[in-house]
Amino acid sequence: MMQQGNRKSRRQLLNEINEVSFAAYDLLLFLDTHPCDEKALSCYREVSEKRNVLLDEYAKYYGPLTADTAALNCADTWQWVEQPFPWEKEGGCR
Amino acid sequence: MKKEVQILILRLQYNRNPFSIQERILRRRFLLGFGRYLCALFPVYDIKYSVTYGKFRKDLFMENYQMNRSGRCSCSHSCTQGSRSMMRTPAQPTCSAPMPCPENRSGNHSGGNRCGDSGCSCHMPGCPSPHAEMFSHLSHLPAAMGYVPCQKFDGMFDLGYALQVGTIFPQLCKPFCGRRGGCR
Repeated sequence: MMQQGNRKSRRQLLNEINEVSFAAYDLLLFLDTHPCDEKALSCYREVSEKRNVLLDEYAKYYGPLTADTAALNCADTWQWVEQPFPWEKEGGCR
Repeated sequence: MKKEVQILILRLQYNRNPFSIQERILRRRFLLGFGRYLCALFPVYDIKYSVTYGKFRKDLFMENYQMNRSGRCSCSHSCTQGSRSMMRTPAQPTCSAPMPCPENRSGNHSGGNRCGDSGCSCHMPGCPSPHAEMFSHLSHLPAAMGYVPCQKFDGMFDLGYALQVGTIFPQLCKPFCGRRGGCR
């Protein structure tokens, strides 16, 4: 029950994942042209790590967003197919 | 004695202002210092230009939107000063013939030379234009080459803000300040 109190809402978590994924992708584009930039590399590692943590957290509580995290859920059934589609309100559509 | 009178007059003038004279002087000094600091940080236009066109920082505006709109006459071939040194071709007529610029169209046919003489906005080499200053940083580059300066990593925006403005790099954040094809 302690975890219930700390748990972020689905939307909040999804929002954070969006932000962090965007940052990771923008850094990826930068690194494509500046492969030796150490600052950017460390930033990418940091952001990527954060993204993985958030994705795992989302998969644990609300179901997998990517196939990599599909096995993390504790449920007995295959959760991948149970997820809301992106065009549904629960899937993040506004 | 004189100084005291001056201060008294200043007091009377700024009677309704909640700040004391010292404070006002300090604020003014701070603002001037801040202006100088900004000038050191960013490339800026000269004061006259920035007052006329409402821009201060050079790096935030894309001048090209304004090139054909800002001058009094937008015909780029109406300047004799630039073409004088070159071979005259039919594509570059001189101002002796009436030009299709708004001034001539509005009934003022006193002389075709008017455009060429009074601040024409053409951008031919050797022709002084009001925008000469804005291209001065390009003068050391070889002609006919395209340039994309290399990006440098200089920190990141806050991630939420980055998603809003579409980039995590402050260097690449260039909000569009134009309106209907021209600068505001």
